Amino acid sequence: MDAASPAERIEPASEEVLAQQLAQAYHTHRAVLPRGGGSQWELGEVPTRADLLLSLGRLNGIAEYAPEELVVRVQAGMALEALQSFLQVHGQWFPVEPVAVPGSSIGGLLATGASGARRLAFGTPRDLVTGMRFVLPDGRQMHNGSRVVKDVAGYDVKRLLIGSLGTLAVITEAWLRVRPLPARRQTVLLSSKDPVGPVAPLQTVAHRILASEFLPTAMEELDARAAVQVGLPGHATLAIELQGETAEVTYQRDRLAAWASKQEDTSTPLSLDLLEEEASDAFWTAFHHRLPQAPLVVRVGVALADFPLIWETVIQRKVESACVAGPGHGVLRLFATPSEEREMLALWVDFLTRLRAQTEACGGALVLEKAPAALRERVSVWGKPPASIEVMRAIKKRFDPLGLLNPGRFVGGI
Amino acid sequence: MAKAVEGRAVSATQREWAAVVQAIVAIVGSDAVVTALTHRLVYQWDGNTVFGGLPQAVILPRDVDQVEQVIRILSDHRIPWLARGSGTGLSGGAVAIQGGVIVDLARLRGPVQIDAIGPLARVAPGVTNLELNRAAAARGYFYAPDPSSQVACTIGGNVAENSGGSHCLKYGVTVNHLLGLEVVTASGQRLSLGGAAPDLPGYDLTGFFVGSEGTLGVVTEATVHLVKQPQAVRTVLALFDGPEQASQTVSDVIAAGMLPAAMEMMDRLAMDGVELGPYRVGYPSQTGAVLLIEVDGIEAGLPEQAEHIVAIAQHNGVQEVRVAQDERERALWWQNRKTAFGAMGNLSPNYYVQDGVIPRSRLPQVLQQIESISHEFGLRIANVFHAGDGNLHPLILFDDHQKGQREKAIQAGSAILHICVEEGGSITGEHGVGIEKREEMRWMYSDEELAFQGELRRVWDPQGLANPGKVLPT
Ligand SMILES: Cc1cc2nc3c(=O)[nH]c(=O)nc-3n(C[C@H](O)[C@H](O)[C@@H](O)COP(=O)(O)OP(=O)(O)OC[C@H]3O[C@@H](n4cnc5c(N)ncnc54)[C@H](O)[C@@H]3O)c2cc1C
Ligand SMILES: Cc1cc2nc3c(=O)[nH]c(=O)nc-3n(C[C@H](O)[C@H](O)[C@H](O)COP(=O)(O)OP(=O)(O)OC[C@H]3O[C@@H](n4cnc5c(N)ncnc54)[C@H](O)[C@@H]3O)c2cc1C
Repeated sequence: MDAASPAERIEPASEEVLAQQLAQAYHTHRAVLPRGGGSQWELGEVPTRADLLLSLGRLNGIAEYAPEELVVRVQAGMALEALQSFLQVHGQWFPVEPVAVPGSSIGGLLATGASGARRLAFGTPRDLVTGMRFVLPDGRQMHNGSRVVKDVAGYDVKRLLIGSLGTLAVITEAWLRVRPLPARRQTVLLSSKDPVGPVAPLQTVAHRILASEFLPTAMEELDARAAVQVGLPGHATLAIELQGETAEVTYQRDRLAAWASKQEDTSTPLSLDLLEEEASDAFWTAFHHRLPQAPLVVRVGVALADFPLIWETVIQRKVESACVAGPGHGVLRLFATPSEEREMLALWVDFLTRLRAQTEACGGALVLEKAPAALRERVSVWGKPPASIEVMRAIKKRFDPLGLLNPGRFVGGI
Repeated sequence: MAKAVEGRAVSATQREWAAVVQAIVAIVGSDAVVTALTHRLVYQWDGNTVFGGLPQAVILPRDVDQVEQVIRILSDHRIPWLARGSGTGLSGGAVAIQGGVIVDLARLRGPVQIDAIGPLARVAPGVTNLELNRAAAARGYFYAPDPSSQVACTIGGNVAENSGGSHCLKYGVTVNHLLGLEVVTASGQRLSLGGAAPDLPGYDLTGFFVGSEGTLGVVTEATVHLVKQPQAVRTVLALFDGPEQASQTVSDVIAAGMLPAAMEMMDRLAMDGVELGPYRVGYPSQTGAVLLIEVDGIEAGLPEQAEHIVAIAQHNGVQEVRVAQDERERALWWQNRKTAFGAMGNLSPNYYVQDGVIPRSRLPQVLQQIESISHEFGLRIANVFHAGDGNLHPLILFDDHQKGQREKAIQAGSAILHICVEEGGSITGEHGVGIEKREEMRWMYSDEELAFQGELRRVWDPQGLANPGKVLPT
């Protein structure tokens, strides 16, 4: 872990100063690690070099807000929860989860491209950014895009930065699309009454929801272990969030209740619980916050058509772990606290290797978002580099010819 | 400026050129290579009739292998080329301003493959937006970006321009619906970018390729996300004295916390044009602006939303406001709106379509400025907008037979774009930079930023052969 904790730390108070300091580091060939709140610090391989930690902590304000345009310009170091509380006063929100990890920054969110359950309705960070300011490793300050939601002038450089894990440039500011706060929030929890019951009936319901008029803002399946960790009874559960005007939310909730009680098409009876407003929010906060506390977090992403196949492998796993999966978006996560025992480790290595092979064979990816060092030594963080890795390397070269920004953290050793 | 010039392929001698043509004929067959002047003339213009250019040859490959081989040959001989879909682009992007070769993708149009699980579609580049939408509709879905040119424009063109449409306000533009691309890069390499799986590790090359206007390579297949058809739709037509009240209504609807699928506006002159066309709505003569608002989603929630919109319109002094009674009426309103560009032909021998973006709330002020520009240049300007997202389409009417009017129209367009940039907006919301707005790019980006964008372009096209002279100023 040492490589990720450089000896020197800088915390510039303006983009201007940040650019000067970056330029200096560039001319002295020092490796720089940009840092927001540090909540995803372990994501990616451990950097091969680290001389300077560049904290965005002091670039943490709202730069401009145009509520009538549904956009806000924020500095990259601003904490997500601070942004949400600011917007809330104006009846708006940035449509990712309302409360993420305390301190996690907007810059970090964009650099990791992280998304939660609500991607089902609102998309991922790439859909929510209209403009950006950033500084290249040699200190050149640039912008791309603007405050308006439609802008196709020139090349979409900002898209390269979203999800680039701080390997191309330092994000200093972003224009974000915001939304009006919904009038109502409700979460319907459908669970299998049979404590060790199969999850198949839940999947049937999930597919029916996706195929009919429903417009859930989030829908996630939790296995019994995951359910316990977020404070529910230990049954496999399908959590469906409904947001919007009272009439549409009520209509959808009532239809779900009818399905559950009549158990149409489902052989296993389902029980239904309803969480309203704050209770609904609290559930999703727990969902996004508690589960990732585990020392091992594995993300699997596959096309929905391949989801059943992967699910089958996951269900049959012998390794102790909690699992959540989004049947509407194809991201599945496993959370575990593997013991250091050799046998345990071997089981994990074996399982992850198999699951990764299967995932990659159908065009998906398995990423170790967080993992104990012993496991990382045997299972790579990113897996097989994509077919376009050479183009990615060439792009990295144009941004960072000396390879000084987060060196080695990213895909294919970038 | 109006006359197309016969361009010369960079560095190819006559003899070398003949050899290149022969090699390409060997790959695609002689019926797929157009060199006769009369046939090439068809490719002299695209939807923007202000900037023209003549290619030396047009090639119509039938499959991806042919595309790849053709690009390799062109690359080996350093011959400039550009990809072309239906040529409906409005910024001169599909015009061979430097001569060279046009690779027409019209024949790459296999059946749309729809996967209900996703739901998603795999589409060949020559398939039109409407064909994709028809295929999707048959399964209960739609493809959200819906340019008004959807009858003709291709998915390849849509990807290259990051096209929008009337329903972007809620549903987003092309890039928001694109999962992956198959491309042949300008250096002749076949590559898969992105894919149907979510969160693939690596840089978002798909996102970068979208909107690159054919300067990085050829799109040979797109994997797009489809959307479920909403359970119900309500369409409201509101007639106002003028654009000011209509604009205020748009702002108030947003302020009330609603996010309609579409909010479209036309001013009087635009209405005059469409009312002479085949889809007449019958706007009263005293109406100065019409607003078309559509909300969709769960049926139970819509009556309330539609009522709320009607109330907001009334609050802003609406002359008349109606909710479409049936699908036929709704379709008529939309057809009336979607034919606005072409309808200018009913009012003027020539017209020039502009495309700029402003923050939505600045609409009334900017419209006044556009009116001043109209007076200043002595040209009538009709206005059609995607009002919900501040995307303006001023339609500048001129007569090419009158000396100097074309130049004036171009200058008036540029003046409008300048206002857009001053308001913090953009020189283009969906039609692209093409050849038309290269110089205006300087208003958006510094020389250093433009040079850096050029460096990223060269990653894909080191020789500068793919659609040269477009997007970036020279
Ligand atoms: C709903 C939701 C729930 C989440 N829950 C959790 C959770 O429970 N636990 C958890 O660990 N994560 C969670 N995440 C992910 C986390 O919130 C985001 O990835 C994120 O906001 C990280 O921000 P940070 O400031 O902490 O980033 P950091 O950890 O500081 O940095 C992450 C990476 O981004 C780079 N980076 C940071 N800032 C910049 C910048 N300005 N420019 C360039 N590169 C930069 C860093 O170099 C580093 O590689 C969640 C995300 C979402 C959307
Ligand atoms: C009446 C009318 C209404 C319009 N309305 C709208 C609207 O509402 N919204 C909107 O966004 N646009 C609109 N447009 C503009 C235009 O239709 C779009 O830009 C469309 O996407 C162009 O598609 P095309 O197939 O005609 O492309 P072309 O005009 O042939 O080409 C456009 C650009 O794309 C490139 N290109 C084409 N195919 C490929 C490929 N396979 N690979 C790589 N590059 C390629 C070309 O090189 C060129 O730079 C309208 C145009 C007209 C004439």
